Amino acid sequence: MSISNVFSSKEQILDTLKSIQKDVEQSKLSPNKNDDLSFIDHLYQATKDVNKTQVIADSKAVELSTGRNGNIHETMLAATQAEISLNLIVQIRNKALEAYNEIMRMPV
Amino acid sequence: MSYFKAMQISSSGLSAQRLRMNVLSANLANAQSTRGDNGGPYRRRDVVFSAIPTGEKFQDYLDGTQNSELKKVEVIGIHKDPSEFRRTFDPAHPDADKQGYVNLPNVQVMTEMVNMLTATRAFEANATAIDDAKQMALRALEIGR
Repeated sequence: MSISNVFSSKEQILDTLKSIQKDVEQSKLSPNKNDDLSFIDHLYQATKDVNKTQVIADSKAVELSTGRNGNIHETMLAATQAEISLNLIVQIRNKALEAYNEIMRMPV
Repeated sequence: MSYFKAMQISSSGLSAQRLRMNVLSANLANAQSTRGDNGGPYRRRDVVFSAIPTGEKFQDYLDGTQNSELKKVEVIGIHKDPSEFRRTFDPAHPDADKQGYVNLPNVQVMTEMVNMLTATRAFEANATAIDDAKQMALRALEIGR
């Protein structure tokens, strides 16, 4: 039985794959699949991604200086991506702090 | 569409122009090589650029960027220039044929120098595009600060 008998069109395959991917992403972050993703899960995932960009930029810089990969602009691009990601997460942290302070200022 | 997509596209332009620069340097260095491929003189080479879709990973295919109009550039091949060789009369040359003529490569030095200028300017233009995309992203972060 070929796969074309199961799905009638390419769009169906794509839709199924997208829904599977969404399920996998959701189940990875929350232990209970029925909960909505909380803010802390998003922040955790975002911090891990930012860390990954920093590590990639660092390793590319080491490769450039040891002469293994002479692609200068690839290294600069990775460094720029790491810088923007870090700035973004710092701004998000500032916003979160501001929101927290605003709530704390509310008179009981 | 993230800011990084623009940077990746410009980065592909930078790589393509660098490869073109390598080919032009090879042409200039071999402008007088009478022994090249298959025993004949060096034949001038040129790069072939092609616009290909930006999506590489499977995730991009899922996002639908594979079919988008956003294309990046890639060098898909290096082809040889089919124009005629230059002939000079030099019977004392070790590569002279029976009539005493020597076939020299079909490389025009002035053309290669102008091509190098074009490649340099294109490289700088792509680098400026990356800088501007970064400025845009950093400016967007200032919103509501």
